[in-house]
Amino acid sequence: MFGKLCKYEWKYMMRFFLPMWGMLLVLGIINAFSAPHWLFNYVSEGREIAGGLLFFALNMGFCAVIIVTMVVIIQRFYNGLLKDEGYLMFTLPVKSGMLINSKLLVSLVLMFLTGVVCLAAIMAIVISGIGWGDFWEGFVWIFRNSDLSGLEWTMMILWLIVLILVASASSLYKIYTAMALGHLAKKHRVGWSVAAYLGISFLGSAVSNIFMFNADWDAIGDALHRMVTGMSIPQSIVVMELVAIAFYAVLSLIYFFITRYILEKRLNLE
Amino acid sequence: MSNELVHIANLNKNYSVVKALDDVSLDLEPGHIIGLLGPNGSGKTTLIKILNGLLRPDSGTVVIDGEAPGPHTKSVVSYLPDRPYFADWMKIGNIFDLFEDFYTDFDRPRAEYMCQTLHIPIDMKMKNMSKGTKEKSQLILTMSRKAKLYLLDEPIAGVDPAARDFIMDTILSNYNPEGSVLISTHLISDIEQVLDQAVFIRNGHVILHDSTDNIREREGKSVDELFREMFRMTY
Repeated sequence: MFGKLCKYEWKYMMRFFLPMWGMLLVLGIINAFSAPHWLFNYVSEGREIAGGLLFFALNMGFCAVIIVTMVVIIQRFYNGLLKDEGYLMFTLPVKSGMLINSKLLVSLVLMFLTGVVCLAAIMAIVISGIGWGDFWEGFVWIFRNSDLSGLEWTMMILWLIVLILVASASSLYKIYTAMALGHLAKKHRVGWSVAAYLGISFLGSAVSNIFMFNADWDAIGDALHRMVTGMSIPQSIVVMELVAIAFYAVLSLIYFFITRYILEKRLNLE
Repeated sequence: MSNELVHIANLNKNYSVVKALDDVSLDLEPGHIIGLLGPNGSGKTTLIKILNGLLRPDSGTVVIDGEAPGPHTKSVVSYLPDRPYFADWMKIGNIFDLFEDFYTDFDRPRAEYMCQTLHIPIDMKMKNMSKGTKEKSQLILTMSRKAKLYLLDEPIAGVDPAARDFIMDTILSNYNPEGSVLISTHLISDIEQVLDQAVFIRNGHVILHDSTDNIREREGKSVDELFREMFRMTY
């Protein structure tokens, strides 16, 4: 059932994301042809302005993609579960947790793929500018002349990707929790959702401030020192990454359980 | 008890200070068409929402097909809400796909046949459909399932008499006779002839539950007449 929910979520999201990714890649490819000329060579003023405008359009495209991605993800949860479509979704024979997590998983994958598409658009310009041969040589040189090819560095990068995913999941769960809290209100639910988000953020800051001011930093410093003593730099970073992953995982669980509780026990469809 | 499809005991639901359901107890057996009859605000929609798991009661017990509302009961309950639940981007064919994936009792050929009969193209987007066509599409989806319990919330409210006939015909010719149909309405004269049983609900209390034959025989009047008499003060 979870896979089927993800399938429908994916089909819906593709209506927005495919054209958006396509637009970004086209802008990237056009810039790949024009940018090297006006960046690295002398060209006429007209071509320089046209190239600059294309490059500006690409940057605007990046900003638009980030905004649209967040708006679509938020709107999908709100309209799909908390408005009339909720009558359809909450009467499917699935648990509420599955509904929440299917939206989260698809959103995370889409955020990741949007990042990949943005990177691809940038790489197209870089490769076009310096040439594929030089690009590949440089790539190989970095790996040969640094420790990046070692297992420890690879693990550090892999855990960093996991950390980004878990932190992103925590951010999305936080938004979901705010929307679930906001929908408990009888009127002005969007306004209450924003207020709930600000409230949760304020609470988070207050808790972390209390911790910062009251924690025994000497003891924490000693403990961390003992933990990383004898470790290489990447191993030490992995330890930090694991601590951060655990922190965001706990936050995600808290947000998830609050959201699930509201949608299961306090659902308030109009 | 063993033959009960729905068992409701001492059910209570409050909205702030308003009591929507007050100690409701009700047992429904399979194989009946039951009218849930009461004026606006009497608790009909709240009861139906609790039965299909959209609302949680404050206290009391609900058992459908042997289980509390949850994924199993949702797989055997076919629900027609009092509002369209479609998103504008959807085509009815998309929802057929969804129903086929999630409900094993969904009869897609029957749904497509009904669409064909009513000249509803399955690739038409919801945003291009009239309000009436959306309502018909939703009814087709609900009645194309071989469910154990159909929960129809005000299916004939706000439609013209010709559409009412169509809706009632669709319900009668498509429901699973081994299941039960619970129809909430305050327009009793339009559906009285198809009801086996009637449940009268007022201010969150069930004040009558009997077969329509018993009611007519005992009271010497139609269910509609009895309803008008009993609810004259509040209606």
